[in-house]
Amino acid sequence: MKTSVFLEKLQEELEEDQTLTLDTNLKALESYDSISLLSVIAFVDENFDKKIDTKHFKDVETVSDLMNVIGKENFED
Amino acid sequence: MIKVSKIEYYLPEQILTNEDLEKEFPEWSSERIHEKIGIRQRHISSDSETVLELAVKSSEKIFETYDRNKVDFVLFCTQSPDYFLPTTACILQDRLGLRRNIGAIDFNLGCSGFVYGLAFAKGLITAGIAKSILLITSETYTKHINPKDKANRSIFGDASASVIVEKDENAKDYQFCLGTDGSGAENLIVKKGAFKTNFELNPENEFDPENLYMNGPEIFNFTIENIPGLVRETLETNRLTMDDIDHFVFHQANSFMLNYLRKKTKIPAEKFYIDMENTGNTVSATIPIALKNMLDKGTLKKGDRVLIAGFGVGYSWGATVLEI
Repeated sequence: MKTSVFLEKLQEELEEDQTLTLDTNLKALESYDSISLLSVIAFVDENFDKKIDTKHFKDVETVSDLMNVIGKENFED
Repeated sequence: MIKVSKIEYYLPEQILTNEDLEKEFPEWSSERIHEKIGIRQRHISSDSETVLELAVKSSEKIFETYDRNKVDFVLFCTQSPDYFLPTTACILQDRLGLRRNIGAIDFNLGCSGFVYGLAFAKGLITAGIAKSILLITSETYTKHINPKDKANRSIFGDASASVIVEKDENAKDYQFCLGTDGSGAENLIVKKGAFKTNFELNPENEFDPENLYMNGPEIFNFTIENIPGLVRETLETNRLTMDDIDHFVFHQANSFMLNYLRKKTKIPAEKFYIDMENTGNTVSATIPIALKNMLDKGTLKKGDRVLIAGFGVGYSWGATVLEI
């Protein structure tokens, strides 16, 4: 998936008004709560057919961290 | 083989609304709770309302139109019994004035409990052990939840459902598909209160060990991995296709999870039931409550074929097909 498409889709999934960048701190977003984690799990399952081990969520702060958890190989520039 | 001939449920009078939650937790928006998890209010048992008391109420509703002397077995599903011993179902026999020459047992399951209860009932009926079974799913998870735990307080509500399962020569013989994976035990658990001591606590568990702990994201992962396959397996085992099913009634966990599971399983939205707006997630009682509401609204009609699926704590899951 193109990184730009990923950023748009993730923003839509999180119902976030602010445009996301690789450096956006997810935990600082107003809309990011316990339900957001479910949204991210569903989003990754649907688009990448990949399960996110929730232990990794602790270390996810930025959008870029999330992309690392999904796997860099799934993204193009 | 078997039919579910009566369904009733009872909800405690006390109600906790999203607005009540918003007052206690100003960062929690009542609209967002409703939008995301599909719940507006849940019923909360008072201190004196135990699963037994709730079960008496839901069962007495059954006996308004069904002769209690026909009941020859009681199956009682709960994870919040009044006592370690005796068995809740035994006390219930006396409270309901049921015959004494009948069997009565409790079984400990959560969200999969109704499906398992039907499986036990089918076994007892086809083996000739019982003819008319009172199956109860009564749960008071809210007693386990820490008052500061806004996430779980938003999701769970208390309720009791009672159904009668009877032998029916004309009913089709539908099979059950059941599953268990104890490796997920720690993700939905009340650690303290029984006899295990010196248990490890998850660092994520911010409340007391006697409180309910749920790792919601991990439970969601479990359902994504197992439930679409469970639906396929249940259809294949019963030689049915999705077109043959009139309604899909899953355990009403929360609307976000259900919508995603529906999409992933490719079930048409018009056949998929979601309604926990006024009750919340009542654990093993959600499926019979849904069936009763559908019958009352007329969306579920005689002869309709329903695929029911329960899944959760254990992990434990199960599905079957019912004709109402």
